[in-house]
Amino acid sequence: MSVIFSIQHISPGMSLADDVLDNGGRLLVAASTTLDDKKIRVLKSWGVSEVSIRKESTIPSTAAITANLQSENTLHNMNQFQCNDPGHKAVVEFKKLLMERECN
Amino acid sequence: MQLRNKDRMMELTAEVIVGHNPDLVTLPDLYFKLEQTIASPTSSIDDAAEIIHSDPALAARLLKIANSAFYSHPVEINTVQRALMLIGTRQLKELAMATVVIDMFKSLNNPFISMKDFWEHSIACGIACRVIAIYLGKRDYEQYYLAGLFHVIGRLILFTDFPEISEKTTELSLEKKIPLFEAENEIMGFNHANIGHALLKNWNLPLAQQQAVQFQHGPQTDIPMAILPETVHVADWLVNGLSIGSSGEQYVPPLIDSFWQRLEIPESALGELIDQTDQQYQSVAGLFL
Repeated sequence: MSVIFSIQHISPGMSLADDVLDNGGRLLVAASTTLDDKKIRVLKSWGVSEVSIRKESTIPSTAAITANLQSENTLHNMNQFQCNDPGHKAVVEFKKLLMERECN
Repeated sequence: MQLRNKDRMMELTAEVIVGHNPDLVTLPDLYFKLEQTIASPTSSIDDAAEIIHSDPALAARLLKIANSAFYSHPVEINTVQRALMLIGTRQLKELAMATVVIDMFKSLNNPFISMKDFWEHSIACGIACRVIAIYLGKRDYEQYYLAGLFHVIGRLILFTDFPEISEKTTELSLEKKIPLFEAENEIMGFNHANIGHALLKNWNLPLAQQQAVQFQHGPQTDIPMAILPETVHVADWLVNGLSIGSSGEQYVPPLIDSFWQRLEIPESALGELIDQTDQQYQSVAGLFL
């Protein structure tokens, strides 16, 4: 399974689900490549706006989750749930459950 | 928003979008034949089975679904007749509808999402609706399933037939970090829910299903006891959060508090609803796609 990420939200360690091509169809970075700072710079410099990332490669480590939970800075909080009321009881519960699922 | 059609400009409406693709305006004959046969007091189960047999792929798929964990019958169902007797003609009609519609859209490609992702999201949403309906003790849960299955079909038409508009809505959603349906509202003055409603209306689906799709992002209707739009809204919220498939939406749509309140689901039940949805999804997604 893959997730579309805006280029601003990708980070080193994520793995591409599909080939990234330029407008002319030329290969920029191949599928399955694990992104590092250099490759992310390449994508940005070619004006790529979003990429398809392998879902499993977006799962942060347990230590990162704990840190993120404290800073309210997780992928879910950052990207997906930003249109939701963070104080709503159901939203809080759902995010907690999703976090637990990612850890397992 | 204006749309250029040949040499004249016309107002872009949900109806115009639906009417643009003649292949989608009506459901295939087979579905209507099946509906007539089921409604007629003089026809038998064999008559309905015969219609289903006229499309061998459909017959095979219905048997597969009848035997799946979705229904969890203890004995193997090996004829369409037995499937009809065990599942009931009404439910089988609705299963037939789902398979017919998925087939109808199968060949339509668009540059925004894959058909597989789209139906994964839609099937999961149908299942989540069904899970919520069963949790709330509703008996007509197939109706909930279909409302969920078709909740975002309007966007599929938009993606397929109006790629320039879809590009703008997608860009606006990312740029302003707003849900895609809000970007659609800003650009077109209406959103995918209106297109879906126009399509289901053309298909003569029950009014409750039409309204469920139409009002899934609000406003709340005051139809007594009708909680179908609220169920679709919450199911879509859950499936987006779980990231099953994709409807082209990048964000989890904002949960509308009044919708949530109306369903009276305690927060403590969320985990169970998610697990049920996920389990049932894993067991059936492959059968439809």
